[in-house]
Amino acid sequence: MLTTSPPARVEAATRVLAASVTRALNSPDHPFPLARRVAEIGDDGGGPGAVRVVGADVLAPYLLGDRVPGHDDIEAVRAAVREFPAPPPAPHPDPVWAARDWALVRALAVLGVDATEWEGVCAEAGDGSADPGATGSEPWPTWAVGMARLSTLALPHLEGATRTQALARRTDLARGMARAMLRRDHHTAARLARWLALDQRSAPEPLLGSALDHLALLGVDESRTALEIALARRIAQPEH
Amino acid sequence: MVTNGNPEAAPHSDAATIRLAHRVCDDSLDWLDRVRALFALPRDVADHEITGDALKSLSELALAAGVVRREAVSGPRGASAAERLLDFAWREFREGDLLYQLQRHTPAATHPLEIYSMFAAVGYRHAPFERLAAHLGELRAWRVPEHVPNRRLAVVAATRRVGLPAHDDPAALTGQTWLGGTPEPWMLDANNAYGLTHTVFHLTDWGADPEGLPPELEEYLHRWLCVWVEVFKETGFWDLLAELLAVGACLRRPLLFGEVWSHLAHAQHDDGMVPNGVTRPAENTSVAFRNHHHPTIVAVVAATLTVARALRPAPQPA
Repeated sequence: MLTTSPPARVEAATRVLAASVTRALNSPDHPFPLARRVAEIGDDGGGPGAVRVVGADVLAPYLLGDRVPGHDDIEAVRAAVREFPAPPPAPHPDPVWAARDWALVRALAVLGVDATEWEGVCAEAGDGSADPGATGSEPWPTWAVGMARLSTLALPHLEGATRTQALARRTDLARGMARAMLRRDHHTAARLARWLALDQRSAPEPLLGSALDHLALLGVDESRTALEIALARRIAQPEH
Repeated sequence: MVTNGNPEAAPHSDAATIRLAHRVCDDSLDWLDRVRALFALPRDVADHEITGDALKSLSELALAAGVVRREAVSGPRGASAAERLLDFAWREFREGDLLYQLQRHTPAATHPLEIYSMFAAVGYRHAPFERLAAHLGELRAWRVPEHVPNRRLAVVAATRRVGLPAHDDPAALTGQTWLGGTPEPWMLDANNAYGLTHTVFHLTDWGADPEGLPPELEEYLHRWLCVWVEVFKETGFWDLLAELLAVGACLRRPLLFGEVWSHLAHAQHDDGMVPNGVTRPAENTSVAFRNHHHPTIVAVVAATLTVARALRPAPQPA
């Protein structure tokens, strides 16, 4: 279905997969056959690439509801990780890759799958805060942008240093979200809204609800933004 | 020494902030002093035909020079330029007589009083004007001008400055302003932003009385001002950025944004003019003046308040 260059193919596939996950989150009573969705997108790199881009969020319909992934669904993730391995940690370790793979491995563990030895998983899968001193004192604009990149760690089961920071700097998350909205960067704003949603019950941000509504209506044609919004809404709900 | 006031801002020492703001202020005053003839009011038209823009520019020049005099933190060069500019502006307003004639011509207008109050605040007075203003202030009509809410606060502030009795409720008027509604911060646009800055300027009397700002609005600004400063720094909207920097310096617990001053200083032209950041300045000074005198004036106010608050974090209320 997709005939352009490999990066464009993955990008288009990511939009389709993100929309699919969003639908699953918004309709918890419908099944979510991940393997079938990935196959439908196409195995010319687009589908597996999209799984890698969406990362742990492809498992959100299972993590945040009663659905149980089938063996083939897990295998689709494993195949994607193998096909698109994390870059080698030497000479320059990539903390975002490490953190995103940490999230993926942890999310799989919650579903009863041990992925620590999977081929392609980042060997340094820390939690994105290997150097908390450096990130903790960063000025809020750059810190918030960094947190937006790590939004896949904003899932209820992923306790770690990044989440601890997110809880400690909620005002800065809100500032980063407001700044991104003013810059019309709905995706970044939605990712930060998702971090705010994570601890919304223990430390309520009064603007979160209106921010999510605003982003949903203004970012209406952006599927990755819609996924972050759906996740934020789901995460802020009490029952998981 | 005060701390930056904003723990999230990039570290930037007070001394460096003071140095930068000082330089921006002196260079801006130099430029304003050099081009001051361009602020002159036309001589060949009837008083009431002088445009609002011409009156506004000259009154803003007087305001900035008045803030320099009030805060008294400028070096001799800046201070003497400010004195020259104040005297120049007062002479252009015919030592108050022009404002008096304008107020007589259009009694319902509030701008003559607003302009006059800038001078009254620094000791330039005109007795017939004040008698007329005192009478107008007692009229029912004076309570119901069809102004936007922050402009109503401007009239309240002018009344206070001149020493006339107050009849309006500033708290009720504040509640009708954009800032008073503590809106979602992402709903700020340039128009609302100027409304916000002027709400703060009028409530605090251009930083002379930080206590004039209700605590909940101070808290709101402590939360969001840094966001707007960041956004307009990034877009290089120097005119609005300078206004926002002035707002930070009007707070009880001032926010001085040292790192941002380096951006404004960098944007300032060698001749001292601060461009508005929106339109490209013409080579010719008298053409550039039209669009860029305002940001240069605002830079003087913002820089003076910043230096004053860095040196004296809790000023005596006026």
